[in-house]
Amino acid sequence: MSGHVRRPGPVAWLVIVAGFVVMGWAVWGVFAESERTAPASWFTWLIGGALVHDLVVLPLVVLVGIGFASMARPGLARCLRWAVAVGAVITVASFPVVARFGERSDNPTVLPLPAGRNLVFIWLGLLAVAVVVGVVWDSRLAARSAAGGGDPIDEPVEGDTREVEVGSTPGGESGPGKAGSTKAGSTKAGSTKAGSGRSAKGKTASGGDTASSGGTD
Amino acid sequence: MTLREQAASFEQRRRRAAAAEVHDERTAAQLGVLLGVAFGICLVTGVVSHLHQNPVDWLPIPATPAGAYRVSQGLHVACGLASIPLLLAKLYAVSPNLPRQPPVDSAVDAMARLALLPLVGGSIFLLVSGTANIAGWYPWEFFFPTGHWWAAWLVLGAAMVHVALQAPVLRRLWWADQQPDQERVLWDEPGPGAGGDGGGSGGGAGGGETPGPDDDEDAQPRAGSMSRRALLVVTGSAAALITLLTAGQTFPPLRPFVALAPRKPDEGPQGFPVNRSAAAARTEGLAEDPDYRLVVADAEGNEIELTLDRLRSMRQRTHELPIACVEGWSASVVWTGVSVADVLAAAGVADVEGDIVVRSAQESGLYRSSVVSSALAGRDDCLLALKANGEELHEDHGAPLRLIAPNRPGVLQTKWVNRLELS
Repeated sequence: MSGHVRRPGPVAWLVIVAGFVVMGWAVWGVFAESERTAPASWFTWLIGGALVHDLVVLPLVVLVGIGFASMARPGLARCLRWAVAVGAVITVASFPVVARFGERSDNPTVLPLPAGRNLVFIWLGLLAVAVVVGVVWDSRLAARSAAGGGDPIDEPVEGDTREVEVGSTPGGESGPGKAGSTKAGSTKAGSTKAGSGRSAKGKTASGGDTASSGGTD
Repeated sequence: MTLREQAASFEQRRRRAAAAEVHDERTAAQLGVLLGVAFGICLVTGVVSHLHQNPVDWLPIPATPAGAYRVSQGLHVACGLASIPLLLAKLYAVSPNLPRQPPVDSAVDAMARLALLPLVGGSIFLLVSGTANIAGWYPWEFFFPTGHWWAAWLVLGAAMVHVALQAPVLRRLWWADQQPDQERVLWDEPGPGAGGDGGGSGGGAGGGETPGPDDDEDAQPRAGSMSRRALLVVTGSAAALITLLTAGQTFPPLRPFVALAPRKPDEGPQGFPVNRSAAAARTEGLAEDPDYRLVVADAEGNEIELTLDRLRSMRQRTHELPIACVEGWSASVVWTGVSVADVLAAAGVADVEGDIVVRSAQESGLYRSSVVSSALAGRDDCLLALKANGEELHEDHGAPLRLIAPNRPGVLQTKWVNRLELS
């Protein structure tokens, strides 16, 4: 299976044609109302946004993800990854408010909040939560490891289709709650299927792959 | 290593990345459905806002409930902001498909990838322009509502193409979920349409690059990569936190948490915000101008002038109505003033059949006039307000006289009113 799109059915073709008609209408609208849409500016933002995402944001996310995947403490790495990802998205979403580009001297009701300061507090809160939970998580992992128990991070949960291995770097699941599903003495050596139709036999936890490690967007 | 070997090595690593759970078609599908719901709400509420500002005869907008626009536009902005993490997560999930080789393998595949540029570019355009707009930042040359409007239709068209091509994947995943006793397998079921999703805006194809059973070992996901659940938790956390920190600008129960909202709905003269100040509109001092008159002009061009004292001597009506801005903030205000119907009656207009144009004293601006339908003008709560929250109207709120009526965008609640024209 190539995974590529092939052979739409008749209904799909109808929707596809309708979709292109709507797109054509939108482009027509941009030019029909060119005094208000400034087509050059409109298309620049349309294409520019996509290019900035693909050429700047995405590589940055991958690099940060690789950084987290290489951390030695898996619990802390996961929690920090969560905090940084959430904080980064909130920063992006609030950037125009924080930067105060729309501030007006005649109207103090626009952007009245100290959003920059608030954002710093939000970041500190996220990081604090991540550090506390991550340290506790790693302590529990160490204790279980010393007791000869399984690694909570690498235990499959019910319905989890992923392949898991002992000592894999961060990435399995989302939080400490996962530890609750640990099965005593079920340490996984090698790869264990957990309902997956396909395994990752022989793969070691190498800390993430080219484009998927971490994932902080 | 030769260039060809390097390309082959990169493709192997890319396929391995695409095989990771966080990048598989189920993850892409789940995020796509969530994003579709959020964008769908934005589209519907956006059309509602557009119809308020560009009314059509065949679809009149009712005056009740009075707070409908407040809810509608509040949802529009809140869903738009919550869509930011959803869109980023979706693009991340499908990102390994962006540089796949060969870039296209059929005419349909080429069409699918072509439609991704307006889909991704348009989606980013909508969220970036919307986010900047609510903060009063306009770093572009187009008029925001018009540019945003056409971008929305472009995205809708591209989304129709995308969904039509991905429907088989959704169907296949849905059927798999209905059979809990069977293993959830993504790549062991060669679906007819195949493929998860495109990757990135550069043309990530309509097909998810999920490896098939015969693919080589290098195409298998590595342990240690981010899980689907982890990505969804990050996405959900970000969406929830953004909503918590901003939605209080229109949703009173969340008001204590508005740390990053562009407005505080209880901050401003007389306890609510201002969109355009009297200084910006060059209407300062209008309330104290002894020559101020409200002019009522009928369809024949006859004009009658009413002084402020005359307006104050008329029956004063008080109503609590929301002021709901297109930028997403809103506040409830107690307004006191004369009804438009009373003013027209005082001017000798017995029956109003056509629309009424309400004009402002401001010299420029696209919103220096608005239209009130005859049906709306006949309501007691369609006011020309002289007071807000028990005080004489502040000049930044439109003193001496502003229009306030139920279920209307703030930009249509014309301030510094000095003329009513009957058509």
